[in-house]
Amino acid sequence: MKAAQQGDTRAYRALLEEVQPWLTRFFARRMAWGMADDLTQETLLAVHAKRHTYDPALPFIAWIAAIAHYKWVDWVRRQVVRGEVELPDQIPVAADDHAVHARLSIDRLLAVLPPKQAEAIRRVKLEGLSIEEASLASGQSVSLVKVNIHRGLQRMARLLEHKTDVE
Amino acid sequence: MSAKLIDNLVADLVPVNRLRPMQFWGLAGLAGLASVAAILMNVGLRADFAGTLQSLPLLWKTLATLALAIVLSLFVFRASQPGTRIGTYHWLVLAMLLAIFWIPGAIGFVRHEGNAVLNVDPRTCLGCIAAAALIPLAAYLFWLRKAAPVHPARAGALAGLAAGAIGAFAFANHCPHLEYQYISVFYTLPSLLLAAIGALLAKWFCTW
Repeated sequence: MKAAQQGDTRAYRALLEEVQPWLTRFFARRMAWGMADDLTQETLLAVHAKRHTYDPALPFIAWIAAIAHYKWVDWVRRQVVRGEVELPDQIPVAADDHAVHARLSIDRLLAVLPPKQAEAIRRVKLEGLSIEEASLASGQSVSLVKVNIHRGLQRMARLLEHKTDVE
Repeated sequence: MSAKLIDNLVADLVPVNRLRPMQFWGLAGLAGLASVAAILMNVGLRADFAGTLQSLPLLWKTLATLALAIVLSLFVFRASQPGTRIGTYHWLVLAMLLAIFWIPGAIGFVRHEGNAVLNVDPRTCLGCIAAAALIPLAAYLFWLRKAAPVHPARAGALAGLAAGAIGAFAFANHCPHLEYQYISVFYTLPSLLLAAIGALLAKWFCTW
């Protein structure tokens, strides 16, 4: 990266080609494969735009990992916002394996929420029930279901944002 | 698809001027000087400055606000770069400085000494400190926009706190008050307000 900052295109290409699979693995552990590829490209663009912020005296892996983590948290935040304004059946799923990967990631997140919040999110966002149907099924009032969904999604976003260990 | 992107990025590569610590500290220094100049030009030094120059409260508030401004500015710099953390050691130093700043006032409150000073209208102090802090706040937000803060809101809040400390330092030698309780409360409030403003502005303007 130090050479790239000085305009060395060969070094830069070698760096990006080495970093790209690492980024894809980083995101694939956290989301569906198709989304991982999109986020990898987004992160490569960010690396390019912000390459002037890298200090050669510091480890490169810490710098790239922090950028990848930032992009991932930003992605989760966008999903949280989108999840509050769009109906679940508008979220496209390209293939069963992508849905399985996404579901596994979400299940891990739901496991750390309070049971009522996790149940509300699971019924409305994953199973596709309406708020009223989820209220009847769970025994929570309509307003409580909405509050639990909102708080649960916010808590998921905060948990992801405060995650400090970077793989 | 990534291969094509890599081709495009390599084709777009040009040498860049790396962000260096001296650039940040130069910007911070200039912003601090501008704050001090703004205070001196608008309200000047306190009338008895020469006489109180060596008084403990004046030295205390001047040095404490300066030390806080420097440490918080360091936090802003570290928050502006991916991969750098504000470590435990840094937080301990900040905690120590805050204790030096707040404990004299807290002791005064406990002893009920001079609490009547809190009935004084603080709007001039609050307004002057906040106004003086706007220059360094703008400078730090400009830096954060050029840099890459991975927690923009947090970095903006730190920028607000640092700017508030700079404004307090700039105003310290005009402000007629030397009471520890007054300084502890009314020099801190503008920083907290600016931290909230900095967090909001950084969230809007410094995301990337």
